[in-house]
Amino acid sequence: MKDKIRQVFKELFKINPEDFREDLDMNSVAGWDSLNHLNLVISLEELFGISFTTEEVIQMTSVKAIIETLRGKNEREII
Amino acid sequence: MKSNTEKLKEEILLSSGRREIGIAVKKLKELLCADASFLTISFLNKALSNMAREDLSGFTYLKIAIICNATIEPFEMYLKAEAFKYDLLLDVHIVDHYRYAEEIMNKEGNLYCRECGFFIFMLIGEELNPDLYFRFAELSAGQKKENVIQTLSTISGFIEKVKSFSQSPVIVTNLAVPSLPLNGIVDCYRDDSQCCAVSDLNNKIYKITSIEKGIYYFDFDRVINMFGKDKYRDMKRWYLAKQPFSISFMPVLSGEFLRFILPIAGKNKKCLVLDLDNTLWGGIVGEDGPENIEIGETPKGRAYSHFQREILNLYNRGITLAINSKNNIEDVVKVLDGHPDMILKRRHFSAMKINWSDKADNIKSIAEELNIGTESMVFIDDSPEERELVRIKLPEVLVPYIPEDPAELVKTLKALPVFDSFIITEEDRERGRLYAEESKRIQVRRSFTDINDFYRVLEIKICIGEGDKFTIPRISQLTMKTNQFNLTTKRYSPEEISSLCSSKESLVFWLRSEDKYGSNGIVAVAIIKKGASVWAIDTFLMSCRVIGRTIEKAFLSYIISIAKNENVDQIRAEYIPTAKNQPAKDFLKDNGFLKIGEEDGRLTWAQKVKELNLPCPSWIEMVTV
Repeated sequence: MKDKIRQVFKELFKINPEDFREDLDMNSVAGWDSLNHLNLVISLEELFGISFTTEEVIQMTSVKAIIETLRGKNEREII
Repeated sequence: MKSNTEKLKEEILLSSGRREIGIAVKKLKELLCADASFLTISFLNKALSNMAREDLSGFTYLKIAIICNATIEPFEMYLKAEAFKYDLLLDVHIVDHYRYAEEIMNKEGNLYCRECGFFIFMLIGEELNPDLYFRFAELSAGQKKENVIQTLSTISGFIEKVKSFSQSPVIVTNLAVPSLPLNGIVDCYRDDSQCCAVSDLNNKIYKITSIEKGIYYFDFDRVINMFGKDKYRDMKRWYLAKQPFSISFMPVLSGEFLRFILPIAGKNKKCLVLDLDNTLWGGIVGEDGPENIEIGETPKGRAYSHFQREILNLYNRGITLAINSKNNIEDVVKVLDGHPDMILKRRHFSAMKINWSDKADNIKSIAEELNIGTESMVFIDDSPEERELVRIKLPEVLVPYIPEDPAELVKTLKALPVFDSFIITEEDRERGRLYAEESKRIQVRRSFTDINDFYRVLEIKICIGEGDKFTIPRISQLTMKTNQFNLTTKRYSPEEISSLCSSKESLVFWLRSEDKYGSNGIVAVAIIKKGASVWAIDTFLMSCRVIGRTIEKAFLSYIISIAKNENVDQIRAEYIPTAKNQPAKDFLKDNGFLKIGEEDGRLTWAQKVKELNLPCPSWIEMVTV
């Protein structure tokens, strides 16, 4: 799962895989603005074949939050 | 393990880094075909913005603006990606949705100073007129009527403003008819039907558009019906950021816009080259025999018959058909002339290459025979190997992916946005016949050693007239499409031709030709800018169909005779070189003009009218109307 997120951050925000950390957030990543946030959401939805709720999209403002949201979805939808 | 997509992306970065743009472009097209995810679309947009425009040979560059009352991003990325498939590089300006009205009104603003090739004017109905969509049932009869009138006048006001500040075409979308109206299932029975009100508004929008004026009607409601009215919106992103469309709708909407954009950019296709076995019918005629191929009333046969019907429809719209097949000609002729279920007959094909040669070489010789460029051709073949060969050898030919299941053929063909044009002229409807007549002329020409004898035998008649409302569409079409015998390659919309026709400072001539093998319709156009003593030839072009019959000489001699009558002192003309107009290069020199200037390859020619003695060739009979 993290590999895929890492790939998205590399492609959308040019974050090198070695610089990818869980504490990255909208404030610390250049280019992660509100418009690109939705592009990030589209990319993750396509890659994982899921759909986030409005609330989840609003909350997912850091890598940590993204991972937690995806884990929550895994438990509910995949297992 | 790296996925195929990642490998392709790395190879693209490598080859574009080395400026091997041809390879990068081919791999980008492969990537788009293999994976159309948002990340791929975003990758492609970045890769394109890193390439130098001049390195993208064969691409046409076009500036456009999208005016929308919602957040259109990231749609523009999908539009650019779709355009890229057809060798078109779009530079998209997006008007901020919360200030689109201001931008439209501001003549000096960003919207107009960029000199866009065209505008897309797309208003989301729910946002433009919430009353119509959400409160319609609450309005009084008078308010309902007023609502529709108000909305129409808002839209037409915007369009008039755009057209008053710019000559470029505007594509205007209509509004979505609600899929479930406010009155529910009885909506259509009611006088105050919401669906009828929106349809009525759409009809009124249609009426303010006009091809001649360069205001094109985009039937957005048709497009969402085709895609699915409950799937084209994404409500989550709408509530979050006013992004109206679902991601899966974006490539479809892009394709539908390309049906308009490609002819505006002169990138629409003219010729469809077809394989035969397992493309036009099921099975292999050389092995199975003409009587055993699948066409007609079998499950697969029905699919191929339907495919042939759609191809015939393109033929009727002016697309030239050709065959490119590895086969024995005797077998194919038995099918084309004798099989009762064949919808396409021999007469529908303007060229046939049925042999065992390389299919790319065959395509080149079809292009030569028909006197068209390979970049205006589409090649359809069920074999991935043949497709790949043509893509490598002739990258300018469009070679779409063809699914294995014949049931998908019609859908694949219909999804190609390359065959649309704004005008279907009488000449288009007859083009297949025209090419067939041309092959008779070529046979006759071979039998003559003296070319003048050949001209005489043809019994050429020409008719020249000035542009009027009947001929404006064809005149514009010729300026858009003629690449070879064209001195200046200036493109004019019907609207521009119309204003040139009515202006006292210009003359627009058309020329119709016929000979003993048939009529060619309007095949040549000249536009003259009149000065007091000097006339300038702004445009002089002739369709490649009639090159090599001295018709251009007759046309020029007519223009000179008119100039003499009006006591004009001098005629000037320019030759602006392009990749394709070599055939027109020596025309002015050969007919008595003197070179007076040369700049960046553009040659300026002039001559005193009294020095120009160019009779109409004796084998051409000329009349004027």
